[in-house]
Amino acid sequence: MLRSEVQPLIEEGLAPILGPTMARAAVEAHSSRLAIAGSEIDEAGLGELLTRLELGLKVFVGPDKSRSVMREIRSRIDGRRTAGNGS
Amino acid sequence: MDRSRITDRLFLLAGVLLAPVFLPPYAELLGEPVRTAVGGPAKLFFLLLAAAFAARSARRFSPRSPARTAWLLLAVGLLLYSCGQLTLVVYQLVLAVSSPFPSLADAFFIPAACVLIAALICLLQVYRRSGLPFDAKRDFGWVGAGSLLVLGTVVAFVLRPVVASSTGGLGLLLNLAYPISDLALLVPSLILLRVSWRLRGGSVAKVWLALVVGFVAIAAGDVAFAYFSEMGVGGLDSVIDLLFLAGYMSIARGALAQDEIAG
Repeated sequence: MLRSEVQPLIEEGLAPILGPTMARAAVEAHSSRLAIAGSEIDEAGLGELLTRLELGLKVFVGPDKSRSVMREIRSRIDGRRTAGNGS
Repeated sequence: MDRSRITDRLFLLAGVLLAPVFLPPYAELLGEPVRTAVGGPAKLFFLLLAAAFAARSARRFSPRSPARTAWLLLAVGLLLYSCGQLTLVVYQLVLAVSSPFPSLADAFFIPAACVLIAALICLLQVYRRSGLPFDAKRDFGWVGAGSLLVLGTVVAFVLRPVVASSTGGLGLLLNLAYPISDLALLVPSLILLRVSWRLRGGSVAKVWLALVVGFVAIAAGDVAFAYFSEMGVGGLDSVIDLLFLAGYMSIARGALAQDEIAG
């Protein structure tokens, strides 16, 4: 998937908790650490990125809430992917 | 309207209703008995509320999470503060005497401050371990050193006349212990404020900001009390009481906000 499609969805999901600035910084920092900062992001890289973000979120809001936030983000990404395949 | 906004409005309403008891011209009109009867139980209520929700927030984290330790320490510190406040309420409302200084309450307040310092340090560890980007030198080092320097100067300025005018004894020791423990509490608070700024716009920032505002208000109350009581300046008790109440309310709001975002 194109990063330009996925990253805004992840940031939108994290921003209510971490704020928009930190949401963007967190996605970029983890992408850079995982060496997936290019313009495209594959399925494995995306999964690893979401796992790292969930671990970070967990220390602020606990496991239940962080799981539910990441589930919501995944579902938005899947929705975008399905819409992309359909068009 | 969501739970967070309802809670904000309830806290605002409580503040609007309680503030006149401590502020001129109503404070003079109502008199000290009303301030004592309202202020003591109100402070106790918000401290217990804060302790209860801090404990509830701790339970939402997994047993080995550093966040659980931080919130648990906050709950214990606030419970100790509640015990101190309860002691003052017993003096004032049950025994109907002015609360002495020093008193049994100080045996709770001083350890409470130590536990709260540990809680704030744990909260900073939570942020450090979150994997979120941070600049240790700028966020922790410079802010910590800068606030230590500025606050240390302020505390030294306030304490010098206190020491010079005092006749010594336990009163002096406590009047030194409170501002010094507040200084130790404010340094991690200001680092937390810096971290909150990086999280601005998010719900975590609201929690941490409320805690920081609370600790700053309590510290201001302690420093003002130490300075004015040792200097023999009267008539400011109501303002000092208001600072403590505002501090406890803000910490309670922070604990409730943490419960809201984790719930």
